Amino acid sequence: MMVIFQNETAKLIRRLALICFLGNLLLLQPNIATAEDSINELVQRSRFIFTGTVVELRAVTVPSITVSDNTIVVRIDELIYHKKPFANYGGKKITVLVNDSNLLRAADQAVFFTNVAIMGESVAVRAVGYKKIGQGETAPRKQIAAALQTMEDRALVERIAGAEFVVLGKVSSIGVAAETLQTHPISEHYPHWREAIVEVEATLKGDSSRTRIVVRFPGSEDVAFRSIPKFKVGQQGIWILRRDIRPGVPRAILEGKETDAYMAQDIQDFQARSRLEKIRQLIKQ
Amino acid sequence: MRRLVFLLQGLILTALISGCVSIKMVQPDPAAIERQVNVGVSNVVGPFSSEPGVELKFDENVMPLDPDTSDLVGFVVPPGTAPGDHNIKVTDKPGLLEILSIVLLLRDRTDETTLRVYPDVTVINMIPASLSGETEQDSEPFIAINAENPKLMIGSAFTPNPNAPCTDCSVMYVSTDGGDTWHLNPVVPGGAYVSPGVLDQTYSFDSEGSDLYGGVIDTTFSMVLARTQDITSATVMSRLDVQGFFDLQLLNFILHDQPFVRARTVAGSDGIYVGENTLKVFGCSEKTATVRMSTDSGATFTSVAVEYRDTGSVCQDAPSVRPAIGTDGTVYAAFMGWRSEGTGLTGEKLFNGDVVVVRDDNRAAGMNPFQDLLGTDGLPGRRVEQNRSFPFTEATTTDPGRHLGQERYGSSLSLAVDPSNSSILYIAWADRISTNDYTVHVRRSIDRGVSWSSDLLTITNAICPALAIQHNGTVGFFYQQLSPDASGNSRWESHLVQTTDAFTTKDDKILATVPADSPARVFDPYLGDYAHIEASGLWFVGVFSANNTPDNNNFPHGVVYQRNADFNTKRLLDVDNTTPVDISIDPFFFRVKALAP
Repeated sequence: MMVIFQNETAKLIRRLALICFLGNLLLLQPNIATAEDSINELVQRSRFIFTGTVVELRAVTVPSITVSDNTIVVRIDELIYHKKPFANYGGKKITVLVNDSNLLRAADQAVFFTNVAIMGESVAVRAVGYKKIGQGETAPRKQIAAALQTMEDRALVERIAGAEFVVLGKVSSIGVAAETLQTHPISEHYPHWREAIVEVEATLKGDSSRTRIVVRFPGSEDVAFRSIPKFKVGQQGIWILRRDIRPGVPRAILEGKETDAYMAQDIQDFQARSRLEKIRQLIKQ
Repeated sequence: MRRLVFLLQGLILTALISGCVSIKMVQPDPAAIERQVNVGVSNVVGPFSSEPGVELKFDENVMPLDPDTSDLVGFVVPPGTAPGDHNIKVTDKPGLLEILSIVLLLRDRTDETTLRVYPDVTVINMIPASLSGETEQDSEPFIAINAENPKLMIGSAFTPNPNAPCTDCSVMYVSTDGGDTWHLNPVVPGGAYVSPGVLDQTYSFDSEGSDLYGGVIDTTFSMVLARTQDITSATVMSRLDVQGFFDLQLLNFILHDQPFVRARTVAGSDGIYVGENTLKVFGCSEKTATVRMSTDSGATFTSVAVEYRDTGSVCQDAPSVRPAIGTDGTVYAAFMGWRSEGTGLTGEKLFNGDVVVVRDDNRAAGMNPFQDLLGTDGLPGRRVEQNRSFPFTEATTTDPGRHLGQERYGSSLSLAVDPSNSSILYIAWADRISTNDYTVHVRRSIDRGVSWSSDLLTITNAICPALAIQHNGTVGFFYQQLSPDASGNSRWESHLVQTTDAFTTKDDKILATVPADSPARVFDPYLGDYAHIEASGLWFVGVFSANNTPDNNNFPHGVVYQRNADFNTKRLLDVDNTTPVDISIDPFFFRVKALAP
């Protein structure tokens, strides 16, 4: 038994050594070696993912970029993941900045994992990595979709993990927070805190004895708070809440008693009611 | 015979030494219609007074020259010249000696170059073609122009980085061709997690053009002062100074507001002056108008409170603090000192206070910076006007008197100093003079801020005042005014007013007139708490934000869109030139020929 264990251990050590060795080799490779990186990691670091065909090496579509070995022109065949302004980029030729284009040839097809670098007459994107698509192969769309879902879930899981409460509920009233009624700075960027009373329908995480929770949110419509959830009476959904621990801030008053106030500061901290099952799944994770 | 040989040898030698005629310099380039162009030439053979010098042709037309020397000639671009590229050809006219000599055979006698002539007024939508699908509210624009190479410019607005969320990736607009084309470069530190980009941001090149300084409020509410020496670089601007949101000494949150950066090189080092409002989140802030400054090119920074009077129960000054630097090292700063709080007819906040200017005569490098201009009460800072009423929008949905059109009331203020005479400065601010107006006033001092004129100009219901002064004293004044059209619908009109005589006479150009009720406001500010203008060579160059409907009627002097647009159907189009795109607020660059005095 011991011998078997030792043999297994030795095998494991040899495998680990081999993995480390290969890992070191990969590290020594230029960025192009990210073709070996996991799709998960590439997706994690990318905001603009597409399949494309290399049109020209050592070329640019953005005049302000100097042509070099690291600039290639790629025609976008299919958008896989992108932000709103780039929805109609299918068929467009753009510049891709790579660390090394030696492994690419004109007419090669690949999945490019990139971020937008320069937006001018055309777009230049900086490649995090790419995976060539050989003849007869297809782009690993399912893996990418799964990785995107994992990325999205992971971000939400992180929000949930750091939250004291996750509740399904409905806003019954909204008032001005005490600190905003006190002397406060007059500034375009002052949050003008509001307090929403959320009637808890179900507690998904945290102390389930709470039937009402005070949720602070900025009432300001200033640009500083454009991405922070704001609430109105009657609004229903799922709140992912952290306690307001700012020093010197008065506690909230609920039913005549002092109580902690909570905040939903990230755009992900408020989810539609229809996401209930998904949130339950993520909490289990 | 020997003399003839000597003469021929001399002429050959002259020809060999003199080489070909060449154009060494054309200034300014680009040029303006009906404005002087000087051309530096070399190797003109004219050792004797009898030599006739050069002939200059502008598009094949021989031009009268003034000056007309052997190394510098000048002409005026003729009226009616079409904007665009034109040919300049210089010919060394043959004199008697050359005609008799071998010089004519041995050397080229002509050289030519291309001169771009700008139109008198240019307006350009700055959103690049690659972002034709963009529908953001790109408000609160700013611009900085490299004084040494005016073709290099940067701009800013609340334009998000499409990559967001990301770190140190907020975008700046970059132009390397004098504003004709723009691209976005994500190199501004701060952002973009909570928000898709940094908040308030302003920029200034030093006067040598080597460094661009920026001041931004990042998404952690820290004030970051940053620098780059290459606006086209992909490297994020380096942080010079960070004022965090939480102050460990004060044990309080500090809200920095509206960093307004001005920089100038004097005696080899850059003076950087950042007007800002420093507010404590809890408790009374008292005197908040501040200049964060460096006199050693950003190696060290200090904060100077420039308010010396009591702010009463308001406990603070207004958000805007605007420095202006003279070429001799005189530094001014203007702010609104709030003294008491009241309420307007519709419940909006009204602050009573003063318009104050402080001055330092030596770069603010001494022990008591900004104390060289005293008020009648003996305190530093001259009150241009007292007991004014300043409306201020609280920026919440429940604020009753919140908007001028869809714009909030901020603290509109601008200050400019004459680059040729630091004793002359102009100020513009907005306040309320009746019951529900927002009136911009423009005044002038010709004695270093000691005394001030009465109103030279008043504009009712206007925002974003911005002043700049040319070396020849011509003043440019930009503002945006909410005005009803013939049908009674409100429009935002963007004006550039110029004057050569302190607004006794003025030239008023409407750069844009757009619907004020669309698109719907997404956040405050709708157009901006400020816009900006600078004097650059023959031009006033600036930026404003406006409704981006591609309608020629909205731009009386014409407009160029970088993004895809169909002016016939008045629709924006996406990068595929087919898919319609909703209208939004975009930044617009403008360049207007300065009046000659």
